[in-house]
Amino acid sequence: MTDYRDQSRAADALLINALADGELDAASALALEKRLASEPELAARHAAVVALRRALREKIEPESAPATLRDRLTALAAETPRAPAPQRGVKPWPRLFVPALAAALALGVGLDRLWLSSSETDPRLDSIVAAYRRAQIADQPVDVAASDRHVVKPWLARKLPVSTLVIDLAGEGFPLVGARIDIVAGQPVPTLVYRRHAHQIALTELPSAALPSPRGALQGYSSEAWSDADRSYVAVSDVSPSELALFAELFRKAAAAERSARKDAR
Amino acid sequence: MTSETARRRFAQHVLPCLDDAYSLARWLTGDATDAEDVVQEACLRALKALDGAAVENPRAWLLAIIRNTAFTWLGKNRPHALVLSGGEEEARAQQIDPQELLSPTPEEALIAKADRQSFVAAIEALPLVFKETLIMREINGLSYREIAEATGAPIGTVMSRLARARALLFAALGQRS
Repeated sequence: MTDYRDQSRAADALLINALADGELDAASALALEKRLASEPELAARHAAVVALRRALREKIEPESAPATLRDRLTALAAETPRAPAPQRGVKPWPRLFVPALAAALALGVGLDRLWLSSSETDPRLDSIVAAYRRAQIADQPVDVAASDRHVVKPWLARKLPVSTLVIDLAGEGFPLVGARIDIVAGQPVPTLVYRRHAHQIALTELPSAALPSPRGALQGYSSEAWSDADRSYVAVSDVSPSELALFAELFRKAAAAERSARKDAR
Repeated sequence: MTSETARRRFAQHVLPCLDDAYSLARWLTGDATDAEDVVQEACLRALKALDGAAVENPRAWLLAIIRNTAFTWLGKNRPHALVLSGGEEEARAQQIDPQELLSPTPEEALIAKADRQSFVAAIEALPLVFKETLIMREINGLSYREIAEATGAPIGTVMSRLARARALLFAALGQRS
């Protein structure tokens, strides 16, 4: 049988553990600390718990999930569970790079280490992919959500010094979701966001024409880049490369038609 | 097929807790490969559950799934290792044994001196309910309330399990010295 004294000492044991765990409210902690000052045995027990906690923290390092497991689970979260179709004419690194990038992407950690290969590409492309990733994580991928180009275009015009060509491709199966402003190489630039089934396509318009073509894969994403007379475009998405190529083609055609229509009107 | 929302929540809330999840599974199963199986299975459950609603505390929620999955897994694969609700161990776990809690604790210096191997052996020897409480507190860094949430035990039980787990570690470390 446990007597009253034992019971109260057992309650003390819970209290000193709670104090060491920082789980006591200020008033209880204060009261207990007062007792510790006058009861050496209790103080020694408390010190032992504190020492144990410190020792565990120092000696038992948390385990890291194995990379293979991380990759498998990251694939679960990826939009298409099946592996991407092999791409022709792509440098060998992007495919090796996909799982690592996907893992880093989902976690938002270790990017510095994993993005080694990205130093080979134009830093502007990195910014564009980073913006795409950020948008995928955020609940809202656009600053202005509107499928009507006559809403999107004035919104962009108020934010940016340049006029942006906004084209709706809903009829072709790429409805406009909206637009946002991305910062690329320190400059605010317009990015239009389109939808293809459950996927998003981000189309960023850049002022200068000189842009290395990342056609095919960009850090694991499908990408297309093209330039016309005065603008460059980079499209990034997780749709298949062929679908993105179709999008790029449609956009180019529509943009050309728009431009010639505008010239005619003048 | 899981929805896009579920996958997004999964990427947002579950994947960042993967190390925590794996650590807990690793300690509960005591084996790296088994831990991977448990985490994978638990993540599939989590993904399915995320179709329904977002969760308030993803880490405690995920660790609860890990823990339940680990126990199911142990029950299937290592029934002798699993003594849980209703068992004698659980009955003892509910009850605070003052003698055990108040047995002499080793000196601070001795605790600081003990090597990693002694700690690992002492933790591995803990009965499962104490082990999970200790790991959730010391390795995963959950609060009492979160542990209570994850294990489905009242806070008072969490406190007594944690105090007992530590008392058992003291006893094991004291013996080794």
